[in-house]
Amino acid sequence: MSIAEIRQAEGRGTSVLGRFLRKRSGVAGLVMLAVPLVAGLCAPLLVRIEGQDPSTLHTDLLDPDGGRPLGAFGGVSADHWLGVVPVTGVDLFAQIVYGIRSSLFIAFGASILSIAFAAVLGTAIGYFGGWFNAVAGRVIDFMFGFPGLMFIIAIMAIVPPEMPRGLVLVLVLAFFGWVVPARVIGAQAGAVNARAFVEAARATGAPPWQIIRREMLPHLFGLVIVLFAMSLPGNVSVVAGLSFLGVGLRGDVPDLGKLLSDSLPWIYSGADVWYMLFPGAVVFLIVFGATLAGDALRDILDVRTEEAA
Amino acid sequence: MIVYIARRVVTAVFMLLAIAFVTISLFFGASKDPARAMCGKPCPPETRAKVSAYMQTDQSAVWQYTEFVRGLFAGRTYGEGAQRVHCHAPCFGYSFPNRSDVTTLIAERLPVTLSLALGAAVLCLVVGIGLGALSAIRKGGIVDRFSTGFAMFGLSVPTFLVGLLVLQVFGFMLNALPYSGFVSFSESPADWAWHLIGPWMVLSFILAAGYIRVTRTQLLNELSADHLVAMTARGASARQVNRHAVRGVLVPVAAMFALDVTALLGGAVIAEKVFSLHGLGDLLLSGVNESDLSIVVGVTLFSAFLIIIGNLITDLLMPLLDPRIRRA
Amino acid sequence: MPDPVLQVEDLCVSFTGGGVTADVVRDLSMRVEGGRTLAVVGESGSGKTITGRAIMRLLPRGASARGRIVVAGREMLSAGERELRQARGSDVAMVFQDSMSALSPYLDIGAHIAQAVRLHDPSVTRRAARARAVEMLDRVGIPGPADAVRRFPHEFSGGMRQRAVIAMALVNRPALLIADEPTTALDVTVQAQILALLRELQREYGMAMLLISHDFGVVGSAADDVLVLYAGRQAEYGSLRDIFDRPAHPYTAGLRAATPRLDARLGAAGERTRLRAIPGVPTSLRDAGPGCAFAPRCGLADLVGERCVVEVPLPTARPAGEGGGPHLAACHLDRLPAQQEVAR
Repeated sequence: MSIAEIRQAEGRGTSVLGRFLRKRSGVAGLVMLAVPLVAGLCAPLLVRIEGQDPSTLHTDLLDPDGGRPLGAFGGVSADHWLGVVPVTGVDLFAQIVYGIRSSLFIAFGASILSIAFAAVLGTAIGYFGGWFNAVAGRVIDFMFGFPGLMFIIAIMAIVPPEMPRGLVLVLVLAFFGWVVPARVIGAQAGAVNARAFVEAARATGAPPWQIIRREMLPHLFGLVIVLFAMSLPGNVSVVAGLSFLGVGLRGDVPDLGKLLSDSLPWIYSGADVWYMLFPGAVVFLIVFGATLAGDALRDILDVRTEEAA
Repeated sequence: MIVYIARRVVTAVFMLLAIAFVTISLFFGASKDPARAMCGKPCPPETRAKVSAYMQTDQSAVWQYTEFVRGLFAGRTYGEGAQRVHCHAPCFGYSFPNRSDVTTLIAERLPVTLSLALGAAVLCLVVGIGLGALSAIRKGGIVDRFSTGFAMFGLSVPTFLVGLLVLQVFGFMLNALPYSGFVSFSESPADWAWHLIGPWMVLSFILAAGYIRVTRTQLLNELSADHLVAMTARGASARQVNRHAVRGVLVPVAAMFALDVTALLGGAVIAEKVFSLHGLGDLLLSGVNESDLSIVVGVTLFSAFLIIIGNLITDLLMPLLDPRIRRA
Repeated sequence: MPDPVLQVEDLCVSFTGGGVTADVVRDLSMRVEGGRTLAVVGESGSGKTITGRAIMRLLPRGASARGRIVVAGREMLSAGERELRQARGSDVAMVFQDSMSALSPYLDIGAHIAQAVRLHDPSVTRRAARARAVEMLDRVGIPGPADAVRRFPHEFSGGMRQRAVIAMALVNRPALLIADEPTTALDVTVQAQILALLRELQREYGMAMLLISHDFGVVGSAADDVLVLYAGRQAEYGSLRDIFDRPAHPYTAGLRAATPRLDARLGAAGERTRLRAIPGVPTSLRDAGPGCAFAPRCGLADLVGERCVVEVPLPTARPAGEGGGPHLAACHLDRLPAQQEVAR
């Protein structure tokens, strides 16, 4: 036994939370994620403290020639904590905290839906195996043939205007999000199903549901949690990316991706880095924080998320 | 072996047909009528019906599907008489707003996409494998820590953020790189590369992450693998052992590379938007913005086909790299 | 006494990592002559595999060995890289527990053996090396050797694969073979075949063998001498007969009592022998205090008293049977009481 192994062995037995808190990258990630999360949750309160709202146009704060915000850092001031948006003069801080809400709401919704479906399907694949596994495997292979992002863009283009785009986004992301997790969970569930204690439970005549619930699910729980944590940042960046491309949320809903997309022309004109940097930093915090936390969680729960090719 | 090849090919063809069916029935079946956009502002019902019949969007999804598949192999003709347009053999549909068949539109965009994809692929492979191997060899060293962090960034940070940052920093603050535009390779190879360095950097930064991780873990696995200890026990030198370890890294890297290249060839939508490049992704977006369904369906299916064909080629080549797959 | 093929003196192996050093093997000495087999026995974690690896200088990163190891007249611990390469595979070769992972999945069986040949004699042509491979596969009893050289490891059964590994190890006629749990991963019937094959080839080539095993049954059927390891230290050393009939260390006695014996039923009339487990778990190398590592599990420590906890017992001579080498045991008790009382 090497020293590292001995240390690792010592780590077992302490609680998951305790081990997570001992992992610096995980804690850092959690903090990075928590700041925007809380800001989004408390958006109305924060904006009221700031004394602004996400829709009032402050044209008086703009350069009448070209519509750039006046003042340093894109018009940062005691009244407008992160400055104002060029051309419209909307308060950027209010836009951002409300934008976090919609992005995270959609990402969480899509992750919950897709991972829940993947968990159910994966467990079924593992438990039933045989023809069910074969059929599900075919469907999964089929899903792999889709060019994910292209397809999502195309679908978002034909969404009828009367449908709520946020909900459609959740569904579309979930529809493409279950594939890889389902395969990973399926493989793991199959391995669990083949182990002796499941065999033993079956031999005692336990009904299928009980076997799944008592014997299999506890062994899949960690994997499901990790897959959820890992799918979240992906969904956040796709939501923002779609808005960036102009096919995400529409209308006057504040949205991080839309802010970034709107900032693009201002980069070309060589000005207003701040308009891009503030929302960009928030997206970065969410995505990178969630990734770090998810990665730490994976290490701690010691689950393998790579597919067995 | 022949059975294996035949099975893979049949599966691939089947997948192509199935994906085409899903796509076409979804888009032509469920969406707003493309004829309305073509028909003009005051659009009396009769005119609209006529336009619809001309564009062949008045037919059922199944009909659309069979026509599309037939068009892929035999070409397709719209309208009659003076208004007759023909779409040649690999017909991915006809874009009436552009007065051009989608295949031609795709072909026009292909040089940009191809340049983008190949450069990014080569760069990410070099950077990814290089950093991954170095971090495995000196595990826990400076390079390892740097590239683990690097990989973490690449895996998580969205493309558009990296793109915007590169654009901002190199394009404007340092004024070191052109921030948009494309020069064809035949015109000036130097200018071609010069204009693509930005997007290449962005895409390979995102993609290299995967290669760093796979190379690192795989090489670490290999280096501590019993069969390499056994090789040392037979009297092989460290260099001979390392050379053999590469073999084990090659297989997963090759599989990943094939997937990435096909995905890149299908269009890098976000990178193209950031750097104002007119590749396949941009074509899709323009189809979306102009409500031109023919383009949307054509481009989506084209990249789906690329992915499936790429997978097929990978499946057929993998057994050459890994004997274990050979008799599966 | 003829010159030993393997001689180990005061071998210590320690792992260093994170500023901590842990000794996994301490003060180990042994000698094996040509044609003889020394079995190294112990529970998992007792340091037996590391000992085998140390002899070939195949220690993992962070491990270092001190002491003296001589293989076929070559000082292994002071040998340079080039010298080591010459020794490995030709003076001393190794058979691994898991034949699947010991073979490269990307090379066919012939390539493995040919590689072993050509690494030590580059003048041999590829063709000739593969011919040697066929010969060798035939020698280890693989049917259809001409065909088998072109097969890949995953296409063999476990027993056939282990035969191939043996062929690979022996192709250069090493003076010493280190067999690390060569039969553990195999079915019982195949185990016996592989052991028989090893014995047969050993006799033919006159090589010395170091048989690493946790299985007293395997040891009993293949070894001449036995070294019992506990927590990286030598617990007992002696001829097979000494170890089996006159165990002088409570741990050895415990191992004996925990191993089923075919002849047990033929023992004293009507007396029923029961298998006994040794209570407790193997001592962690980190826990090692000043005293005897086995003391916490020893049923006899009470007989000795405090000495077991404060003083490390050194190997001292014990009565040996005729013809055997020395019989050493590292226990403060000079004589063990009657066998059944050994483990509590």
